[in-house]
Amino acid sequence: MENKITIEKLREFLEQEQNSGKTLFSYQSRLNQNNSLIDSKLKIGSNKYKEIILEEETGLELGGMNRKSFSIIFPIKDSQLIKHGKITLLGKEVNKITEPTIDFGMMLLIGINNATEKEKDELKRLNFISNGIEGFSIRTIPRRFWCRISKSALQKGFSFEFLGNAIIYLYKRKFKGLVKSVEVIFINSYPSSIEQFIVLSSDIFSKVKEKWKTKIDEWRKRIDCDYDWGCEICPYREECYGVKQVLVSREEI
Amino acid sequence: MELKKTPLIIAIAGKGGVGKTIITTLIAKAISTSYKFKLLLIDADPTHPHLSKMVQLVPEKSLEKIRSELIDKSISKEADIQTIAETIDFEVYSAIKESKGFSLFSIGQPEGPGCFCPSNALLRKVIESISNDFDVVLIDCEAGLEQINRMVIRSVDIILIVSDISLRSIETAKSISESAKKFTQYRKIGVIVNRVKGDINIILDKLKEYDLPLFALIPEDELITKFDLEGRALIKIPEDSVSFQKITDNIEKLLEI
Repeated sequence: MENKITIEKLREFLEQEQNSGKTLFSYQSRLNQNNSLIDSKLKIGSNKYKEIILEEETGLELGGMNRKSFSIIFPIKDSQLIKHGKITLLGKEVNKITEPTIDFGMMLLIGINNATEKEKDELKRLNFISNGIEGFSIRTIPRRFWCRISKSALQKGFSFEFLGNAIIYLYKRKFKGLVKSVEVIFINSYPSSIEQFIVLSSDIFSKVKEKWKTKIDEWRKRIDCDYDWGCEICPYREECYGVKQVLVSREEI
Repeated sequence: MELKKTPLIIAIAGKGGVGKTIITTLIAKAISTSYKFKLLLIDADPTHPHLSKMVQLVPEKSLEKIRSELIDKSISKEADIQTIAETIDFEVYSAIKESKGFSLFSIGQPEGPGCFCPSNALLRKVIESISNDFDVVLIDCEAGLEQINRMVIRSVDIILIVSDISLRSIETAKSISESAKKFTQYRKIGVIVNRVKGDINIILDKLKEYDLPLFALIPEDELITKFDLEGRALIKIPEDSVSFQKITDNIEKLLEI
């Protein structure tokens, strides 16, 4: 029930943004019977595209250090909540983007059969996406998004429609039997929309935080200390306290 | 060819001067030449950070620099905690120098006093996260493994101890192995004997006596000496070099393909 409310809120938000004049594209996945992509000059293949895209080869960078970004992978058992194959883009298509880097957020709604915690964690690791798309490379940053699209991929017509299709194809291929449906949402170019989307989807994060709270508390106790926790004699007490706060904050992101 | 598990994390340790960094460089060359694996090199030797020169990739920032800045920011409240927590992964990733064959990250030398414990824990978690983007991680350690346990990564898959044909280096290999059993999580451990020439039966007997598995014997290679004396990056060594060929012959065993 909670998942249904969260997803409905997110869909309503996208509709409101569109109604306020922001550009919204809606695509349907174009996979054929063999789950292969129709009409693409760019190639997709499991583990076939592990190239490093160097800075000088980059045509477009999504997210990154000085950009707003998010990456939310949301496995859901109730696959009826998911519009399988739907790709929504709030923002500009690649061919309309002139900047070298843009704010970017991605949410994947993934309908699953019964999955173990380990399998759910595996669904959230995106390196198979990075390794499976020609001219596209993701750098894993928890909860954020940072990727490079090569100049040659742009010349071959890389688009967010293609990216959404590729993601759906790769998930279905890698997690056969586990993944029943995939819906993709991208947001770019509107930093305020990205911020609002993160706030709206915070219910998803709070469930994850709750799950990890005990683990974080246990783990806090286990940080090594050269002074055997003799804080009263430790000359680095202030630094220690400051960094520990950062450490815990990162775990909670 | 696929690896059984990724990332495959290999730590290379051994007595100072036996050729750890040379072996790391040759393994990096073998992997990047023959396989399409994403390879991360970590130069974890703070006192002799030679790896970057041998592979011709010099990062702009070291982990120690990032750690020092992190401590300063945390104390000075220059940025709020949440912002620091959100950007630390980006900063560490930006410190990685990339090339088409592999990427390199340097630990660097300590920048000054300061509490290391939570900052080590934080940076270790970031490095573990980043390592998941790679297929193979090669860590060029200082003599033992203490540095990497504290700062880099808690567990590795394979520990490669490099030795030359001296009993002192075999004794050091034994100490490293014993220390690893107590303090490091690993799956496999073994020795590469470097600069082999003449009769080394005594060395091989010692390895058996100390129950140290042998991964490979790498012959003395004049080409390596030549490259060193001429100040040339070892990564450019020709593929017909005897030491490189030996590494290549053993690479599939090493990578468990």
